[in-house]
Amino acid sequence: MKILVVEDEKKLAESIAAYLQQEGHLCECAASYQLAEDKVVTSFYDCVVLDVTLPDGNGLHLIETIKRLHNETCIIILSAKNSLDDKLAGLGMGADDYLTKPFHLPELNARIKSINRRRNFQGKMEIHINEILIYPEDGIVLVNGQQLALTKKEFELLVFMSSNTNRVLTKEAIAERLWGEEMDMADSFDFIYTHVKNLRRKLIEKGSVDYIKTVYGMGYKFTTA
Amino acid sequence: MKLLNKATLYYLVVSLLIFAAGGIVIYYAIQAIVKEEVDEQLYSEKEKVLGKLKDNGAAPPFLLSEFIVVKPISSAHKEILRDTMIFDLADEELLPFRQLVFSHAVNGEMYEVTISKSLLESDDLVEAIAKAFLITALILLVSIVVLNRFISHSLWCSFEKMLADLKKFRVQDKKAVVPKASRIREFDELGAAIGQMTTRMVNDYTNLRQFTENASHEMQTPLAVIRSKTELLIQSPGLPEAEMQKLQDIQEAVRKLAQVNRSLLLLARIENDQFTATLPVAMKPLTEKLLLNYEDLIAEKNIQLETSLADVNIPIHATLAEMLLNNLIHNAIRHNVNVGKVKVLLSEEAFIIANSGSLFMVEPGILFERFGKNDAANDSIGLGLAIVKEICEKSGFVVSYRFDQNEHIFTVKF
Repeated sequence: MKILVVEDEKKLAESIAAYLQQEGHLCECAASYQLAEDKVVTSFYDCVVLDVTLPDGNGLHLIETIKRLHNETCIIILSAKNSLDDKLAGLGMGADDYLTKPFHLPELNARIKSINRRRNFQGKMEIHINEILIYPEDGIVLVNGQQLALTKKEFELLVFMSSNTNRVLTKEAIAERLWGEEMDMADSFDFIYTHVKNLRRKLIEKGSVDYIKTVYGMGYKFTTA
Repeated sequence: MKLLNKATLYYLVVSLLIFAAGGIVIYYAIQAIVKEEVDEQLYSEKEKVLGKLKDNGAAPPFLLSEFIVVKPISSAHKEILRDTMIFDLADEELLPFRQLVFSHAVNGEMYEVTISKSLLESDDLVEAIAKAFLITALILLVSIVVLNRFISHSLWCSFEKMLADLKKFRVQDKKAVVPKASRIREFDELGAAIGQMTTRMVNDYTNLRQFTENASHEMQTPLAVIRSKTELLIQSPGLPEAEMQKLQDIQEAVRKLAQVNRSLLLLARIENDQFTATLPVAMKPLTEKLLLNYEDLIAEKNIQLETSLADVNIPIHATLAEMLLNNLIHNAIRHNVNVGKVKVLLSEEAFIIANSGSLFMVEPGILFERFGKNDAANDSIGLGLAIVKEICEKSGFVVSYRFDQNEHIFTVKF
């Protein structure tokens, strides 16, 4: 995928680009409204990660331009404001998702993948990892063709991990994914352990390879390589 | 005591003293005048009696009238003028009289003449004057009171208005007190001072709020940079465990900072009225959704959940409704004991949530303060209930806390 990161804070843009490039995407950065506009006008991007507060303009206006030129481009808004009105305005104008700073890079990656799955109408609605087949929209997981009975949290966990394979996912990132940012993280760390343990057991029971590895007690990694 | 009542009291006391003193002076002055008048009459009577005695030339009768008595005496004596009391047969009582007693020789015989004049009429006069005086005094006193009432209503009304405005003044409302011109210099000066003071307070408050919001905003991006950089570092292959541990510590600190920042930002935005209710929020599904999010924690702590939820729609901003309920639910679950209870009651009037627990060590009032934690060692940041309070204040709800039968009960009255 070709992704444009519109973010005036260069260091953050670099981080995002670095993470997404490791996923095999082609990433470009634009640090201002003007630069971003030039880029979206001259070339096509599959996805635009857009900071709404830019030094020379409101990122929301860029959505109109993008949507007019390339309706199929997916847009994820980054905002420091965490304001519902901004969110609604952005989504109303055609943005696909909304993330509040500070966000987790695996979360951004998972969101991009999720949107891409939904927007991609060539029948690629599922995540396929060797013997595991996940249908994120339907909540169905098949291992070697057998359906797996997972709880809602276990399923979310599997989707999140499978969107960030071979990456260390910290407990913070997982907890925020599963319970939202309002949940007190200290409480949820123990539950992550429980959910991961159960998910692992269920996968192995159906004959799956043990993909999930613990990383020094700080997080987990879904290793496919 | 009201200023005006106090002033009126002073007026009354001074007036009474002046009236009392004036009354005494007038009383004695009238008495003196009356006595002089009576004395004059006695002397003119004496002249008449002497004339009669001379005209007749004969031995005088001993009684000329009831009040003029002539009786023979052995030798002459000096003229006497005196006050006396005489028993009045008609009234059957002693009455005050003024007497002039003198001796006079008629045809070689010595006679003593006693002329009496009743003082009763003069007493009547004094009484009448005293009455008139008293009535005047009374009218004056009453008019002082009435006048002061009137003054209080007309002159002080601008002051009272100002005071009422000042009492209603809340810096959060961001409306400075603007007193009306009263045409009284002192009040206008006071009003101007109050106007300036409240305007400055509102400005300072707004600036401070704005500062908090801006500061929180400005912190979000650097936090995002720190978080993203550590996340990239964590992905580096072959990182030793010790280094991983350090990165994890950074991540945890960032998380906590982000959480505090988010809460402060939310508080600032609530205070800045950035949430206005658009559509009524269905509270029942919201409560159910939030409780579901805590199912792990509820199961972990073996908490028994009792709910009684009515279908209620409350006019409040959706974000605020979620924050309000989430903070209360989170609070009830987090500060619960093992195998405790959580009772949630939602009705048209109120949202009530109760949880088992031991008595808090802090004052209940501090619970709703920012960073007001029950337990300093606790991991929570102590902004949850401050947010609850702020949301309730903005939405016109009343939140209260009480501890009853080992239960912490939070009530939000809609």
